Amino acid sequence: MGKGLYFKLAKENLRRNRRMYFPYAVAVAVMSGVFFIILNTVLCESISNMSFGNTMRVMLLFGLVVMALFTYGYMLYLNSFLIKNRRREFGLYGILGLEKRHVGRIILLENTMLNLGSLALGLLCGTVFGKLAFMVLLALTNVAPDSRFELSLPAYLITVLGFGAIFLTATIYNQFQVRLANPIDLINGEKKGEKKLRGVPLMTVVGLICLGGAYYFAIATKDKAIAIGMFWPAVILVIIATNLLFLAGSQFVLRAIRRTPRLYYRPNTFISVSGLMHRLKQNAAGLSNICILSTMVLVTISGVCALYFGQEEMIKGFFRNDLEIAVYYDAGEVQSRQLDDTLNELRLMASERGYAIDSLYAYHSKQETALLSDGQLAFKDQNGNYNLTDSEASIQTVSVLIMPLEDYSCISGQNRVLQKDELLVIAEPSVQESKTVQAGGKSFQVQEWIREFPLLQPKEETIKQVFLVAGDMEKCRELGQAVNPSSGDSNWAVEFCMNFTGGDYVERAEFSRNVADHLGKRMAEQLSVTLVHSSGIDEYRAESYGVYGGLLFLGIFFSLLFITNTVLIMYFKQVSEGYEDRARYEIMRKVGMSNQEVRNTINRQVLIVFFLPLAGALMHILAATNMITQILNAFVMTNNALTLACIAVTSAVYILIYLLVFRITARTYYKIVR
Amino acid sequence: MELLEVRHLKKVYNTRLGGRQCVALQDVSFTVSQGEFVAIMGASGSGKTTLLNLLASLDKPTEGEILLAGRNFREIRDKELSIFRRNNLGFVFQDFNLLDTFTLRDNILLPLVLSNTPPEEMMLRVRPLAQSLGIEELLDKFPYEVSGGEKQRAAVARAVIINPKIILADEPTGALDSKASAGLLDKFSALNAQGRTILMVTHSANAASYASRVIFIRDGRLYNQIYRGGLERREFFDRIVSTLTVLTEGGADIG
Repeated sequence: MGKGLYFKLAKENLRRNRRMYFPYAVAVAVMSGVFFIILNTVLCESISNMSFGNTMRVMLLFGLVVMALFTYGYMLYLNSFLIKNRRREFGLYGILGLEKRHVGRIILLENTMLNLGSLALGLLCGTVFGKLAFMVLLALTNVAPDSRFELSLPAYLITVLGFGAIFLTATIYNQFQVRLANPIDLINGEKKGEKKLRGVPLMTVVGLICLGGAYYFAIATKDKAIAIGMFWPAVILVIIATNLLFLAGSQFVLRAIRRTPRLYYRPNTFISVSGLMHRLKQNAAGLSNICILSTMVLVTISGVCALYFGQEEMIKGFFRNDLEIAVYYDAGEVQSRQLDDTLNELRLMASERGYAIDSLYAYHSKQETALLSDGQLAFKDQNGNYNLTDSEASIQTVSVLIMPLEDYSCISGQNRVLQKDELLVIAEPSVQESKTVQAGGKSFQVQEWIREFPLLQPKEETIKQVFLVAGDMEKCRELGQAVNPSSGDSNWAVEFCMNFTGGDYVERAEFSRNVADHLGKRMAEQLSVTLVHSSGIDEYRAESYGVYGGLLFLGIFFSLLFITNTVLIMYFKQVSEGYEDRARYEIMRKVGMSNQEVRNTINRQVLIVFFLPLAGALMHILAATNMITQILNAFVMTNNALTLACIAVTSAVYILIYLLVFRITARTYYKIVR
Repeated sequence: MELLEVRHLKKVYNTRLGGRQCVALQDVSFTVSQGEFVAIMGASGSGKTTLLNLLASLDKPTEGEILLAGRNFREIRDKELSIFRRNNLGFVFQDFNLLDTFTLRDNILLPLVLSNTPPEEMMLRVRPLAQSLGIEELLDKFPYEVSGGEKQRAAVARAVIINPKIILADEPTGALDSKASAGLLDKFSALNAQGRTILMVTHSANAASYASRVIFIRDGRLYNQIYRGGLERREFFDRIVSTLTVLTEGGADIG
């Protein structure tokens, strides 16, 4: 046989089977395109220049490996599905006198053309949309879009090699399929009786128990630690339950209907029930996998979205002030005039950058710790031990900050006068009020308990803060002595707090570092500085946007991949079943069903097979809502309304996509069946 | 009044690109009385299948009329057509056309279910029918579990269960071996003896010899018809064969 003939046959086969091969090509293009885009992003120079570059790279790389494994599995599955659909055709070739090696060559040619074409398409799309994806990534991480997008040659090479390996495996598999089969088997392959499924009631009961157990864990869990612990067991139970119920549960219900003549012998149910029994038995595994994958997509995307959109709130929960710098010293003293000068310098630095300062404080403080036992403060004694009256009570460590009245007045804007041995106590409501504070054998009169103060740590902080305000620095030292007799005069610091607006977080983080450097140098003029500790919201923000923006980016691409594959499996199943069903509907028409009746029957069957996995996934996610919220709470994402909104929007979008695919699939199915 | 009247039937197919026309049937007229067993014979391409499709109301004639029990097919609206077919015509096909996903019982019940018959009545009807066709043991089996002859008997049961005015059979023995064919044709004779009207299209002179009348068509026209009268089946068979010999003299080929 001439080479031209092989080529012609292969081309003709692709054209004739385009209903199957076109979606396959699209899927390969999507998968290779997505793979290329992410790989290119990882290899892109400009990513590593970003502040969170390395975190993001590692995360994307991990996602890429997972994606590669999924892609490999999916492609082989789709390929085996396609080749099995053509068994009859190969059988026919054999009968027409083509040798197996000839058929093998035709298949090889087909696969080469198909895969090369779709891979080229994928790389083209990857190149075109790569820049778009890069911009999306920049937008998600809130970086000013001045980073340059570059195409990397290694990314092309790795994508081609990776997909080449997949195609090679698929081609070898296809060759085996052709070699191993004999023509009679190939021709008759499709018409075989099916076995009755055994143990349906038992499997149904086990499935229901698993599902009930998983749902109970998911709904009843009220504690975030337990929610995290129970997550994977619940997932495994749900997977088992979904598989069992799709296989056996469906048969159980259908058999029950069949045993009830009143229900069964009605025109609508009669044909649907037997059709579904056959369909669901064949497709139980596929449908339950689609259900589980859909659930995973929904859970992942809504979780990642909630984290991404909730992160600003989370970050603000961690930091009461945009920038806090503590300059620790062990000797020396700063006059308030000098402190004022320093603050003015900071104002100047900010205005040079065009930032507006919302608030700026500086204060002296001595940091100590105390215990909070039943709302009562307990301090250390001479030996550094706490003296507790009631050992049974709940105990919590709190941070105690001692500050002079002068600084308090500056920050709060109130003018107060404290008598000798009089204090102001600033604390959260969980610290109970008392007339006096007992420390180091001394009793201090509390002039007033203050509950609102700009410097009180936000509620997310696990260690509570208590401020003790004494008349002046001298009094403060005495108080410090009383609070921790063994510490001497250490742990003193000058603290600066700053809130400002303007700029993006990368510039702000840089500004924060400059401020810390400046303050360290400036304070060293008067003090012997031991440590400058800076904690800025923007440095944290860079990390957070890098992680959550990257997660969202990965999540979007993963869902794209999952959805493409899910859709494709559904489409292939429907189309190949369409060919099988055509004969059945032809018979029904001959026996006296009108076209309308046949169409209604088809509609119902397609609808049920198509939407059963979606219904299952939505049910799962509804049950999982509480658990997702709890787990996100454990990640300090406490805005439950946002989480619920994310779940709802994600589900709605997913349903829309699903509906769209259903319309396309149903139309193709009708065309085949008619 | 005759049960089935066919008057000057003409069917013309247009080839796909317009232009040429193909006349499949030309001026075919005949009648079938209540309780008759009529066989239609003809060569491949003589128009047998076209005729059967027209009689089955699956297709519409270009000219001429078909009346079943006085009702003209032309007057039936498209929407009612499938209901009309379901209630008045019973079909038996060469390749059985049983649904693989149904048991034989459910296959037989299909037309009854489509016309919303109460389940109790269905069960009452199916038992004696299955008994008379010798498949009452097989009702709970699936089509792939029984032999071809048994499948075809189930298909006959499906055609008969609605008590149709006429049974239309298209090569019912085409896919059966000679023993199963004989068994099936015996059942047809028995059904005919119960007063059912049967119209059967066939290639086989043997199958046709079970009928009470044989209509021959050739090149879309009614060529001849012979009545069995009081003849033995063997003698009738010889008459059919000799008619076929005359029929094929023009070079037509009988399969």
